[in-house]
Amino acid sequence: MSLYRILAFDLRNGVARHWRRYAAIAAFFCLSVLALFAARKAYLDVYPSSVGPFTLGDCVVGAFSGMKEYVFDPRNPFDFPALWLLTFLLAAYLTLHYPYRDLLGVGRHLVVAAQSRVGWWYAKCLWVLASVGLFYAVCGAVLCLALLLDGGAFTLDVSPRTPGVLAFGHAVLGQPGGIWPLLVLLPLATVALCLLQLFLSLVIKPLPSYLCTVSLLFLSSYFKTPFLLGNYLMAARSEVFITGGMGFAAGAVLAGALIIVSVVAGRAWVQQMDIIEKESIL
Amino acid sequence: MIEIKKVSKTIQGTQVLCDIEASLPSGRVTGFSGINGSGKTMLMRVLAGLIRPSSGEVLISGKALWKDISFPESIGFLIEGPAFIGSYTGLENLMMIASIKKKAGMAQVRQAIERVGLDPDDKRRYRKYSLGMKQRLGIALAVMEAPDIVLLDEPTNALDADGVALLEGIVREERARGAAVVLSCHDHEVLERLSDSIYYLQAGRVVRKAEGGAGDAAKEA
Repeated sequence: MSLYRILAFDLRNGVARHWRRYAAIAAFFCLSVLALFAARKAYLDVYPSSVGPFTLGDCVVGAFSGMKEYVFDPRNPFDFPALWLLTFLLAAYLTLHYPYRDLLGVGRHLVVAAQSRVGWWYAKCLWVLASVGLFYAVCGAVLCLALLLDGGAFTLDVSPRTPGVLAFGHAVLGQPGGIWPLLVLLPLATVALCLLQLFLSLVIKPLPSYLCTVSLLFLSSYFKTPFLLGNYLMAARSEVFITGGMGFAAGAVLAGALIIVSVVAGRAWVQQMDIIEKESIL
Repeated sequence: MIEIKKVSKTIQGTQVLCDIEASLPSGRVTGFSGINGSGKTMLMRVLAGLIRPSSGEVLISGKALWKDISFPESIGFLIEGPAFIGSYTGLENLMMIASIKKKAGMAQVRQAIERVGLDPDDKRRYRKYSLGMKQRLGIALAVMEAPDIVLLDEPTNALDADGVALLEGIVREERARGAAVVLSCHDHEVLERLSDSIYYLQAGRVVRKAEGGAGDAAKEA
């Protein structure tokens, strides 16, 4: 019972009260869509009449395109995927401060009243799930709105030219499941990323944990390896589009493992941690 | 009844509590006195279950904290100053926290706010409160559920003379109700007046125990 009461508190104070952050995320995705349309215009300048209106699938792939595999070569500069990195840094920031601040503030009264550190922890894990869900809901709403304005089709099919517009390189289409693997993996891997950050924020404090997230995402853009979670968050590296791309199964296993490890380790940590701002007393 | 048995706490290599032994009976006010950094607040955190002693144990009505129970089952506390949500009113803040246990309803919460001299119908948000009002709301939170244990760490901070008088009245009422009241306070006169016994802390150790004046005051009353 205490879990649900704390969760209700978290949804009210950690989601509803933060509506401005979600508005900022909506604004960011508007910019992201504009960048996508700009890429289409640039493509049309080179290949006139080759691209029609975007589909919803195109918009999703465009919003989370990332970058194709980087092959180190002095003549091949690293094309930093700033928009992609910002997208997930926003998601990570959304879930960064609230739990830690809550525990050192009014949350300590809730923990004591609920008589349960574990309940507090599980409520925060579910809060992360809800926050990431809302993040993608906002993204979906913006993409749908953009599609309406652009006159595109509400289908998850990806136009054959879209990988070219987004400069995916040697792209292939035609996976039997379409982009569904990507649609499942994106929120799953984002939840894993945010839960790992949540656990680390309690161990090493929020800012260092955020730097870990930044490092993980940056390294993911530089190295294409199945062990760096960020690779699964890029459409440009997905097996949906690229032969030998990042597979759904491997991504789901890695994300699932990270979620389990973060939740279990976090539970163990919270059960023995001192609820105190250590710098304030030493 | 709280029993503190040889409690020590080391944080990042610094010993902040050392072999604390104390008995904090119900229906009595136990004071802790000492300079800044003597360990008063740390001991309060241990009693609330917020931090785990490095050694020793705390028994709450015979149940060991961290072994038999995670937190004292009936406790109200004000430690390190009040912590509330700035965009809510005082009443909203207390109702939100009361919703976890559902032990105190609207009437009890309103009464607690009135006890500390605040208006439960005050529509000002908490962030607009003065320091003294914030402190009063923190005291109201500590007593609103009529807990068996009341921990008040520096409750006179930011309070004016009227506020201190109200606080003294509340502490006496909680004592009379049968709660174990634990008080740490820089104002030695207030501590002396309110406490049945006072433990003096220095560098995390109890260096002296003395009788306070609360018993005499109760007899006079």
